[in-house]
Amino acid sequence: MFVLISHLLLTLLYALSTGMYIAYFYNNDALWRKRVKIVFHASVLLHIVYFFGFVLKYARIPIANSPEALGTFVLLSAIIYIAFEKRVREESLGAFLLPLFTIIMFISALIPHQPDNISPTLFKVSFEVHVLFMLVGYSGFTLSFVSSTLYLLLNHQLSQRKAGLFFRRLPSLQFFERISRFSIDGALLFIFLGFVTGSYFGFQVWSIAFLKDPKVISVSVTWLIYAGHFIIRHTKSASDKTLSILAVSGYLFLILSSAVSLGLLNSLHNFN
Amino acid sequence: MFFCACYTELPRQLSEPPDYQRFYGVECDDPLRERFTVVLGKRLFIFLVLEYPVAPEQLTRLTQPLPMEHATGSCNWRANQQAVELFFEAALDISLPQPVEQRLRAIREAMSYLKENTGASPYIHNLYWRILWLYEKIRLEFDFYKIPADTVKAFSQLVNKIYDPNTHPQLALAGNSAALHKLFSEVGRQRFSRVLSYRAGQKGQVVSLLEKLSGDIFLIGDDIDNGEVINHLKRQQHNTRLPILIICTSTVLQKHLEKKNDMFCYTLEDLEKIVGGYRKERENLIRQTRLLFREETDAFFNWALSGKTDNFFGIISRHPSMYAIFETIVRVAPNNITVLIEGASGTGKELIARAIHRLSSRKRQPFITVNCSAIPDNLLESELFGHVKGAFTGAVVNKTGLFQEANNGTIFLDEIGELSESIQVKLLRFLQNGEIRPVGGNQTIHIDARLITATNRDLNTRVSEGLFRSDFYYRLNVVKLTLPPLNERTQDIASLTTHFIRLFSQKFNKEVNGIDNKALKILFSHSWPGNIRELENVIEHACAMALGPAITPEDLPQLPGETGENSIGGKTLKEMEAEHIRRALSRFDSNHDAVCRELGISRTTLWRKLKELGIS
Repeated sequence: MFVLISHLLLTLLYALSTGMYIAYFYNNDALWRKRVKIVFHASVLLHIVYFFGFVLKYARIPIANSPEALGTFVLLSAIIYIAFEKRVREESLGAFLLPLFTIIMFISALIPHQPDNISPTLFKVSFEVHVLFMLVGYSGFTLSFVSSTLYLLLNHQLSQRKAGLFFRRLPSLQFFERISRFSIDGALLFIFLGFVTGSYFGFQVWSIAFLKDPKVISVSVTWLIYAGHFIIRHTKSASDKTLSILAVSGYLFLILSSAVSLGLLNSLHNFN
Repeated sequence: MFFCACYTELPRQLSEPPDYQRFYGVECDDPLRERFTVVLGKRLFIFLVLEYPVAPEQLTRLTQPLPMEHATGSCNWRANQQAVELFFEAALDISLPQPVEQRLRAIREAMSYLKENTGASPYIHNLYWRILWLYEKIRLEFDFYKIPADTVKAFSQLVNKIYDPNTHPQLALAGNSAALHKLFSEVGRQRFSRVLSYRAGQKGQVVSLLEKLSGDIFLIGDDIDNGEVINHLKRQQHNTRLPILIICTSTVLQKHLEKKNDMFCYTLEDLEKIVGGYRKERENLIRQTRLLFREETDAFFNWALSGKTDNFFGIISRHPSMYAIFETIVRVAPNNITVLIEGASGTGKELIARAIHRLSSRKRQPFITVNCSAIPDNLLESELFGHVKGAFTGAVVNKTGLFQEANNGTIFLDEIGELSESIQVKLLRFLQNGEIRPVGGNQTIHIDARLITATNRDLNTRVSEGLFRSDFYYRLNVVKLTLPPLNERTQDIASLTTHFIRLFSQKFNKEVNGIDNKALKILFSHSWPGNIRELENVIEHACAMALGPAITPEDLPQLPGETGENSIGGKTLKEMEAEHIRRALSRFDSNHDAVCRELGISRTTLWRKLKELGIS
């Protein structure tokens, strides 16, 4: 009940922040800019309080099953986004990133789960480190997905020769390209570290069999797609538009394959 | 006071800038008090300050000394509130075709003619300062001036939608199109890392030059061979990952280039469309800024009706050097810039700092004043930055520093020249990173406070003498305001005197409302080494002593200037000393405490002197 209520409350707060980010994106008012930051930062602060409350109550990090991992993923992504926003002083991405956070939090609240009924294997430090690395990596892919999508939207408005809302409010194509590049590079590193720690944990628990797990295959393919993105970028064999399409495709593949492997197939990663 | 303004199309004969000198060359006739004119683009703006209202026909007569009198015939004169609002709109409204910056430059130039040729024009100057302040405020709070109002700004915007503002792409300009050359020249060379410009001669020649170009942005005139250009640009695409931006005058070229290529090809008409795309935002912002103009108009009328036309946020002056300082204040106040105020003691440095604070967006936040020389060096650090419990003997509780108290507001450090080197280093760190560390603490605290400093010393000299850190000085000296001493602006003595009389007659509940000419003459002849503070004390004394509605010479205290060279008259030092002590005794009714304070000596010294000099 504690988790359900907390997740629902956090969903509401993220939804409120989303609404305010969208309103700010639309009206570009300095006052709204202040308000939206206060609300979003307060939401993240409450999420952090919930996180530590969970750790105190259950003596573990909330990552042992899908709803918990989704909640923690949102928290990590939100913290990364706040740091990013503070550094680049650009708030337009929030209007596109926060709806994702809200949806994910809502899904996490909908999935039934019992936080008390957790396998003792999942209390291992190697598991926790593995999941945290993976979640930070996914956050990077999420940021890259949003910035690549915005790159394509702005590119489309530029080719249409329209001073539409995206044209007026978004920064430059180069900005989105840079954000996408940095987040993919970071994500590739964290996912790689996640693979290493995950392999160590997997070998201990399932021996070699874990390599055939659909979720492992799905993430490996995603990692290869983004590694391809990295190579193409460095060999300068495609334009930024093509690279943005590749980044968006990679993320959509990650979402779909994860949903299929966890929801439909009998994945070892399904701890519910 | 009555205000009129007219903003009219310039007649053709006045395509050249008007002769401002001639305009101000004619004396003001009644009821004209002040006048101002400026050419803004193709329009003429005239602003008049009148003693009383007159009919529009008479207004035209009043402007007849102008060399452009024929222009004012068709002028639709606006009066009072509307006139002031028209001034703000003419200077700052984005809906007008001429860019705001150009208009402000023209107004600044016209103001310099006004300053050179006429006496003080407090109303027009006040409006000018309000315009400058509004410009900074609007620029900082709205994206108003970033909205493209013409094709040049639309092109600039377009470049910024592809490249970051700190990235400088290469630009290639080929062809003879005057429109494209104008576009480029107005955007400016500094936006681009490399500019290659080729006028079209023989077609082959230009294309062979194009072959060598590896541009990110191309301005292509329609006198260039389309086929060659298309092939060249397609090859260029391999050199860049970001799309190439092309501005051309030919729709044929546009169709060919955008087909299956990652290029944006805009014609000049497309740039116009971008300008149109901002219509809604522009209208919304125009509405918001007009509200600001209205508010500022009300504020101007409140100021004008108060009768304190020499008063700028409590600073009384009509002197040109002070007007220049007021202009700087309104420009820097809204921006978060460190300001250094230099000036002799008593010139009103704190008032200047307060004016900067009140004109900034921090006006509702705290304004903290610290006199650095009044606090011992070993206590100053703890006062400024606070301390933690146990940091030193007597630090029994945590103490918040003045910097923390000034968070989000302004901190004014007076007598900065007296600071020790260790505190200079700490302040330097604050200026660089906005961080402070309490005494004995190990955690840095981020503070968002604006720093204004003041000194009565020449910091430059102290730097060269090695008494002041040069790096700290350069950090402080972002904007320097040097206040003139009162003896350099004697014309302000009368208005300052009136101001202080009003102040002290209220304080003492007396009906003193002026000063007679003889007393005023004495004030004018004095050198005022103590500046405005000295004048304030003199008037306080005079108001206390006054027996009638006007201050007379008898009410004034003995001013040091009156005991000048002539009055020494061969007296010895002892005789002078005795006379000075006698005067003090009679002034303070033999109150020894007061006499000691006045003379700056102890009671023992006074007793000794009285005995030595035989004063009973």
